[in-house]
Amino acid sequence: MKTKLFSFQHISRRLFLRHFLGATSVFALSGDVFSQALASSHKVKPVPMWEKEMKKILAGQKTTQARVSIKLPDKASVGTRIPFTASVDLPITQESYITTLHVLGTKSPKALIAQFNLTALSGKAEISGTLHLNEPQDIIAIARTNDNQFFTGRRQVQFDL
Amino acid sequence: MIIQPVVTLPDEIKKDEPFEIQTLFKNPSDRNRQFDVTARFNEQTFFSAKVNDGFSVNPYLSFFLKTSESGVLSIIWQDQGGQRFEIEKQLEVS
Repeated sequence: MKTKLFSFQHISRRLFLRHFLGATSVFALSGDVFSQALASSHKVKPVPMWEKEMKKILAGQKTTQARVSIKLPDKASVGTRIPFTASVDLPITQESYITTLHVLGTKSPKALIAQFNLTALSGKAEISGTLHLNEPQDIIAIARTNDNQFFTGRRQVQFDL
Repeated sequence: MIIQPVVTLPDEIKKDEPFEIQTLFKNPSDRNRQFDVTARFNEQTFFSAKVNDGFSVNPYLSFFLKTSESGVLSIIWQDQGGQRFEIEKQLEVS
């Protein structure tokens, strides 16, 4: 009786362990499958920073890729000091002028490189500056007129390495 | 050492013709490249900028102004470290 009881306990412990281990391995497997399924459902790329920033600037308005030109060297020899010019080909008058010019970098850590606020007194909507870029990317300039129209220009900058 | 910003204007400024204002700003630190600029003509702000890290160290920045009268141009730089620089120039239009 004692032996039987012992063996019963032994078996049940074995069974218990087997079931327990089996259950955990199934659980681990299902966990793995689950994480794989989760990963595949997240294969959709996250929205890049510059797109979020652009959406914020446009605030639901549409933009036309026109009128804004960006001058950049085709191949920058040094990433730490890249000359650039953004200009808007629209006559600036007291009644019609550019209010903001946003400059974004598609791979810049903060996306928004600079925001320029202009007025009718500016006379000409053109800004020049020196950029510091860590890697080749597109530079986007978004101009907003005083009557809330948006115009965009985009230009790629490569590094001469 | 603190170095004052530099402002360069054309030799001749013509009435009602836009002209370029070229500036060079010396960052106090290479690590913090953010700064703000405000440009006023006769007390009226006609240009301002909020510059993030995407600009180079010791950045060059140029913009335009159109005026029909002579007056005082004032440009103010403010960096993230709280330093403020101001340059004033008398403009004579012809």
